[in-house]
Amino acid sequence: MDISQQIAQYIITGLTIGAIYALVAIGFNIIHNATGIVNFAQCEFISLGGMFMYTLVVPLKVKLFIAFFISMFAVALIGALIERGPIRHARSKEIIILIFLTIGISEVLRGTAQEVWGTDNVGVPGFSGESPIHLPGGAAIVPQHIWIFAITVLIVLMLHYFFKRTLMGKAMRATAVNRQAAMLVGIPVNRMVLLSFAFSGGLGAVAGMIIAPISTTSYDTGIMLGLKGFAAAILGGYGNFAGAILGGTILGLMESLGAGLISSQYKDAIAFFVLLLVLFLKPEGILGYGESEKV
Amino acid sequence: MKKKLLMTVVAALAASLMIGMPFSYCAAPIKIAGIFALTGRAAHIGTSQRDAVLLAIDDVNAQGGINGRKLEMVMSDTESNPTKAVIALKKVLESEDVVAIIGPTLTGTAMAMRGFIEKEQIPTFMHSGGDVILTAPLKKGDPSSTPKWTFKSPYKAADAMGKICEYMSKHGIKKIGFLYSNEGFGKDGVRNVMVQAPKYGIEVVAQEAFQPKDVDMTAQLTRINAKGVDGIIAWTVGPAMGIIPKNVKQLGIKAPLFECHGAGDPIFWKVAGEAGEGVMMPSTKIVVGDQLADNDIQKQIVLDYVKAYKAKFKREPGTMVAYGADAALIVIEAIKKVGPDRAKIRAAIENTKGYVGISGIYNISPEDHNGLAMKDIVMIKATKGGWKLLK
Repeated sequence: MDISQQIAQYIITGLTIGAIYALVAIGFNIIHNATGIVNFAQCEFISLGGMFMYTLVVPLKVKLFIAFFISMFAVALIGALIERGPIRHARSKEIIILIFLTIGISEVLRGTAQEVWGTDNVGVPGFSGESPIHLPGGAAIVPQHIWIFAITVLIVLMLHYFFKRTLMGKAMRATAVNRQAAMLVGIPVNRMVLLSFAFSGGLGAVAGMIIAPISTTSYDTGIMLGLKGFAAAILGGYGNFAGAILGGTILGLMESLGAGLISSQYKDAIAFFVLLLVLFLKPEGILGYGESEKV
Repeated sequence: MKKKLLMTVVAALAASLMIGMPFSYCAAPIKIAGIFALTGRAAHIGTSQRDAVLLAIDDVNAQGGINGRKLEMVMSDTESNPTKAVIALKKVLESEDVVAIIGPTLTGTAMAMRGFIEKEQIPTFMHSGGDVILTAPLKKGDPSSTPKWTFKSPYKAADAMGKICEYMSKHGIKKIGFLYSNEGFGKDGVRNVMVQAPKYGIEVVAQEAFQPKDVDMTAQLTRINAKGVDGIIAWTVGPAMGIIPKNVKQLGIKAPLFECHGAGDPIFWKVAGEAGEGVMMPSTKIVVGDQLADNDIQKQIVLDYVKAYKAKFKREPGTMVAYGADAALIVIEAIKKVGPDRAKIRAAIENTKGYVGISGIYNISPEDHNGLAMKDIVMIKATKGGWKLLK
C-alpha cells in the first residue's frame, strides 16, 4: 500500500467522522441561535438516537427505515419536552443558569438511559450490509460511510432550504437575530425556541444513529462525539451554520491525518492544537462574525 | 382484652430485643469492600465481576457464613475513572470497617488506588489486567518498593502477551503491528510486547495508539498495514475491541487479528457482530469449559461455576468473570482460615499455594502477588458467536 493510497484512506475516514461532528455542531448552533445558550444535553441526543435505534432494530426487529424515523422523532420530542419543561419554566432566564440547567438535564437523561439500557456497548447492523467497497484511489469503505455522507448532505441541504426559503425558517432566523424585534412583529418566539430544541434533538439522534453501525453505541456514547462536535462548532464560529460544517470537516481530517501521518498517540492533541491556534488568531472562529450577526 | 394484647406485644418485643441484641451483636457481618467500574467505559467488565463476587459471597452465606458471621460486601463505583476510584476508596475506608478489598477493574484506577492501600494496610485483590500494579515501585528510584498489600487475579499481562507470541511463532508469524488504547492497560501492553515478542523471534514493526472512546481506528490500521505485517495485536477492552475487527474487515487486511486476554466475553460479539469471526485471544478456561480435556484438573470446577453463574444471572459468563470469582474465593478462603484480621488475611493470601481456581492454579508468594503462570492460559478463537479452544 503506497502513501497516496494511505492518504486517501485517512481523508475518507476524516471526512466521515467530520460529517458526524458537523451534524452535532449544527445541533449546538441551532439552539444557540434561538436562545443564546450552549445546550449540553446535545450529547444525550446522540446517545439516545443510537440506543433507540438499537432497541427498535435489534431486540424488537423493526425495519431499519421505520426505526430511523421513529427514533429521530422520539428524540426530537424529548428535545421539545426539555424546552417546554425545565428551560421555559426556569425561574431565571440568565444564560449561565440555563446552561447549567442543560448540564443537569443531560445528567438526568444519561442516568435514566443507564438504568434502562445498562452500560454495555452494543452493535447496530449497517444500513445496507458491512461488505467493504474499494474506491478508486485505494481507500476502502463500508456502505455505512456512503450513508453518513448522503444523510449529512441531505440534512444540510434541507436545513439550508428551510432557513432561507420557508416562512417558518425565516421566523426562526429573525428570532435568532433579535428576539425582541421578532416578538414585536408577531413572531411566536416561544414556539420558535421550542422548534429549535426539537430540531437539535432530531439532528443529534440522526448523528447517533448513522455512526452507530461503525462505532457501536451505548448510553454514554454521545459524550465524546458531543464534545468533539462542540469543538467543531467553536472552530467554525459558534452559531454559524457553514462554520459548523467547515469546523467538523477540519477537525475530522486533522484527527485522521494526524493519526495517520504524524502520531496516533497525539492525534487528539494535534486536533486540539489546531483548534487553539485558530481561536488564538481568530477568537470568533473561522467563519464567526462576532456577536452582532448570527445564523 | 385490648390490654392483654398490648401486654403480649410488649412482652414479645422485649423478648425479641433480649434475644436479638446479643445475637446480632456477635453475628455482625464481616465486611469486605467491592470497588468496581460499575459505570463508564469498563462498566461491562465491572458489573460482571461484581456479579462474580456476589455469587461467591452468597455461596458462603448460604452455607452459614464464616464462623456464624455473614459476609457482606460494601460496594462502590470507580466510574472507570482513577480520580473517582480514589474518592470511592477513601469513602469506603472512612465509613465502614472492612477487612479486605476486592477490585478495582481498570489498571488506571488500580494505579491510582495503590499508594493509599499500602498506607492503610488493607489486603486488596484486584481484577486489573496490567502488571504495573504489582511491578512498578511505589517509591521512585527504589525498585524493591513493590506493593505488599496488593494482589491481582488476572494472569500477568506479560504471560498473556507471551502466549499470543508463542502461538504466533508456532504459526509462522514474524512481523507484527501493535494497536493499543492510550491509557494504563494499553501502555502496559506496549511494554510487554516489546519484551515478549523478541523472545519468540517476532519483530514489532508498528505501534499505534487510539483513545479508548474513539469510534474509528482505520487510520492507525492503515499505517500498520502499510508496514506489511503478518499479524496484528490489539490491546484494549471496551467498545474498541469490536470496532477494530470491523475496521480490519473494511480495509481488507489479511493479517490475522489477536486481541487481549479480556476480549473473550459475550460483549465482544455484541460490539463486533459478524466482523468478530476469526479473532484470536488468550483467555481463561471459563468460556471453553466443555471443550477442555477430561483430565484437566480445572474442568469440573469451571463447569460447576458456569452452571451456578448461569442459574443465578441468566447469562453466559465471560473470561473476566473468572478473575472476579477467583479474587473473591481466595479472599474468602483466607478469611475462613485466619479470621477477620487485615494483616493475617494478607499473609494468608500470600501463602495461597496450589489453589485450583477458575482462571488457573494460583501459587501466590511474596515475590509473585498473582500466582498464575503461562500454562494456565488458553488461546481461543471467536467462532460463530462462541469460542473455540485452539490447540
